[in-house]
Amino acid sequence: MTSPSPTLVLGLGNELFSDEGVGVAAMRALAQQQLPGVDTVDGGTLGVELLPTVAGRTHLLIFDAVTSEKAAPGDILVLTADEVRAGHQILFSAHQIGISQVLAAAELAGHGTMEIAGVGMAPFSLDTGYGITSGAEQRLEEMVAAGRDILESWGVIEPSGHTSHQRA
Amino acid sequence: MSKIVVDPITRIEGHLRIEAQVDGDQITDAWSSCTMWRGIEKILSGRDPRDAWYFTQRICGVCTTVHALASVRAVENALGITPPLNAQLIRQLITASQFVHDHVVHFYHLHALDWVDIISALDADPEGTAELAQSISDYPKSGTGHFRAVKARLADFVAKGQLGPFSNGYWGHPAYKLPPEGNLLAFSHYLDALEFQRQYIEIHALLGGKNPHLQTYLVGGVAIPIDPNSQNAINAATLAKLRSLLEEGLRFVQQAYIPDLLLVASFYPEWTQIGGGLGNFLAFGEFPAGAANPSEDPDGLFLPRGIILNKDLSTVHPVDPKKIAEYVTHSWYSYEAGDDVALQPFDGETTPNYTGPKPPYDFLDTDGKYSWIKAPRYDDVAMEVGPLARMLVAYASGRKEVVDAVNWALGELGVGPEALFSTIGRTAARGIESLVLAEHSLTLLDQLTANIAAGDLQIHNGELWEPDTWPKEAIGFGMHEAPRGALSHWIKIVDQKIDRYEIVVPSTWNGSPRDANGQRGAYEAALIGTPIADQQQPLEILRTIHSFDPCMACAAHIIDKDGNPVVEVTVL
Repeated sequence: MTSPSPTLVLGLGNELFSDEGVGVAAMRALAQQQLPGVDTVDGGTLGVELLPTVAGRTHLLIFDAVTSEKAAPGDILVLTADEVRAGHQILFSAHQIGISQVLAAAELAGHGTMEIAGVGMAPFSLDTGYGITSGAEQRLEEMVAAGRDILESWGVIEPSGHTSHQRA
Repeated sequence: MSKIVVDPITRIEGHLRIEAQVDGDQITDAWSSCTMWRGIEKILSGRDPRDAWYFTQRICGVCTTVHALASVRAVENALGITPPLNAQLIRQLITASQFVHDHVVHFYHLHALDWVDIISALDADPEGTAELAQSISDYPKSGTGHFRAVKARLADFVAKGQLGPFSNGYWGHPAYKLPPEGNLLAFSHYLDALEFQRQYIEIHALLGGKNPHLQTYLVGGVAIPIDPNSQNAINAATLAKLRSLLEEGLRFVQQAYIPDLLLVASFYPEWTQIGGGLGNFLAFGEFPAGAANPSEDPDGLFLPRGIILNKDLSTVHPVDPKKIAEYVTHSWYSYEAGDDVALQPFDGETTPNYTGPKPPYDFLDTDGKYSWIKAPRYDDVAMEVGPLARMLVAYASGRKEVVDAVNWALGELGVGPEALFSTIGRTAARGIESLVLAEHSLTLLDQLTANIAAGDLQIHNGELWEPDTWPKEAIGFGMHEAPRGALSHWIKIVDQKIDRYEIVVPSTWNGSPRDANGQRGAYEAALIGTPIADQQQPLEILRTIHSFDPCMACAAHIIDKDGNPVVEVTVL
C-alpha cells in the first residue's frame, strides 16, 4: 500500500437514500480532478472504522449531507472545524458513532488533525433510492467548488483560476 | 406510574425508540419502536443478482461485510454454486476478524461507558490503578507512570470542554459502581482500543482488496487473487502479516478485554439478575468446515446452529428456516390476508401503512401499530439472537472451545450458568466469543496457509457465472451469523434478474414489537424488571439495550448544523 497523503477529502453518506449520498457524490466528482497530494475516500456510513483512514492527516475536508433549519434544499453550507466536531449524542448503537466521535477519538489517541472543514448540501430528498436527485446533481458542481476553495485556502492545492462559487 | 421515552430522534429520520412504563423505581412494561422506514429491498428489484452484495453492503456502515456475505450466499444457494475452499477460508477470516473488531469497538466505545464513569477517573490514584491493573492482568502498560500520563491526558481533554465521545454521559449517576481507579484503568484501555482497532482492521485491507469498503466479495468465490510469486496477491508476506495481526488481536482480547469485562462484572453482580428477557435463543451458526454453504448444511459449523427454549440448556432444538415468519400486527404495514397472519420471507409483503401520530408526539399508540420493524417469529415464538444466543447454543451443544471459555469465566465470577441470562451475561457472551474467535481465526489462517502450500490457488468457481447458465427461476437464501445475530437474505431470481429480495436482520428479531399473540420482542422483554434510579437519566435502560448492540440497519447519519440534541429523554 502506498503511504497516505497528509490531506484527505472524505465523502460521507448512504448512497441508498438518494441525497443522503451527496457527500460521496461530491467526493467522487472532486476525485476526478486528480488533485496532487490529496487523497479521496468514500467513507460511506462507516463510523469508528474510519479512524485508521482519518488518523494522522494534517488536513481533512468532509463532504456530507447537512440539515439546518435555515437551509433550503440545495443550499451549500460550509462547516467550521467546531461545527464538524460538535456532536451531542447519547448513542443507542455503535452505528451512530459519527464523524465527530471519530475526530475526537483520533485526537484522544494522539492522531489529531490540524485543519478540519466540512462542505454540506441540504438534501432535496432522503427517500430510498440509489443515486442523488437531479436537483442535487445540478448543485454538485458548486459543492465541489466550495471544497476546492477550502483546499486552496489551506494552501494544499494551487488556485484553479475558476470563478469562485457564491456562498448560498 | 409514569412513562419514560428514550428517543434518539432527529427531525428527519429516527432510529430506535424505547417507551418504558415505570412503577416506583422499576420498569413494568416496555415498547421498542423503529421510527424510520427504509424499504431498502426495493432498490434491488430488477438488478443483476451478482451485484446485490454491493448494494446490500451499503445498508449499514458497520455491518458492511455481513450483508455482502449473506447476499453472495443467497445467490450461490439459489443457483447451486459452491465456492472453492480458499474463498470460504478468506471469507471466514474476514468474518472472524470482523467479530473481534466489532465486539472490541462495542465494548470500549459504546457499552463500557454504561458501566465506567469517565469523569470519576479524574479522582483516581495512579499508583492504586497500577496495583489494580497488575492484579487482574499481565497487560504491559500497567505502571504508575503510565496511568499518571493517561490521567493527565484525560484532564487536558476535559479542560478543553469538548468531551466529544463522552459528551452527554450520565457522569456521577448513582448507578455507577466502579472505584475511580477502575474507571481510570478502563479509560486507559479505551485509548488502547482505539490504537488496537486502527491496526487490526488492516486485516480487512489485506484480504478485502480495499478499505474501508471491501471489494473482495464475488458470487462463486472471492476477488482477491492468491499467488505466492506476486506482490499484488495474497502471498507469503500477506500470510505472515495476517498472522502477526491476528496474534496481536488475541493478545489484546486476552490481556485487556477479558480482564476488563470481568472487572466490570464483579462490580455489578446485581446485573446478572437483570435483563434476562425472553429466554428463547436462535443461532444460525457460522464458520462452516470445508467448502459448504451454511445455508444448505449446518453440519460442521464451528459455532453451531440451534435453538434454546425457556432457558433450558439441556436441549438444543434444530433450526428449520421454513418456520421463520413475520407479523405486522403492531408494525406499520398491512398484509393482504389481514394483519394477524404471519408470512414467510419468500412470501413477504412490504406495504407501508403508517397509522402512528404525526411528529412531534409524546407517545406512540402501543395498543395498535407502533414500529417500522416487523415481528419475526420462529415457529410462532419470539427469539433473541446475537452473542448470547450463539454462546448458549454452542455451550449446550458441547462445543469444547466455548464450554471451556464459558466455564472459566463463570468460575472467575463465582456464578453459575443461570447468570448468563442477564444483561451482564449478554455482555460477557460477547467477550467470551471474541476470545474463542480470536483463537479460531488463527486456526483458519493455518488451514488457508496449508491449502496454499499444497498448491491450491483457486479463489473462484466460475462455472455458473454467466446468466445464460441459470434456470429461468430460482429461489435461495443466505444465512449468516453476523456479530449482532442471525441474518438472512432471501432472493428470487426470474429471467436473470432479481425479482424479489428480502432481508431479515438481527435487530429485527431483537428489536421487534409485539406480534398477533401479544408476545414481546427481545428488548421489550429484557427491560421488564429493570430498576430506574433517576427517571431523567435512564442509564439502566441504555445498559440493557446496549447489551444487545442494536443496529437499526438504517445508518442514515446526517450532520445537524444547528447542533440539536439527537436524543430526547421525556418523562411524563
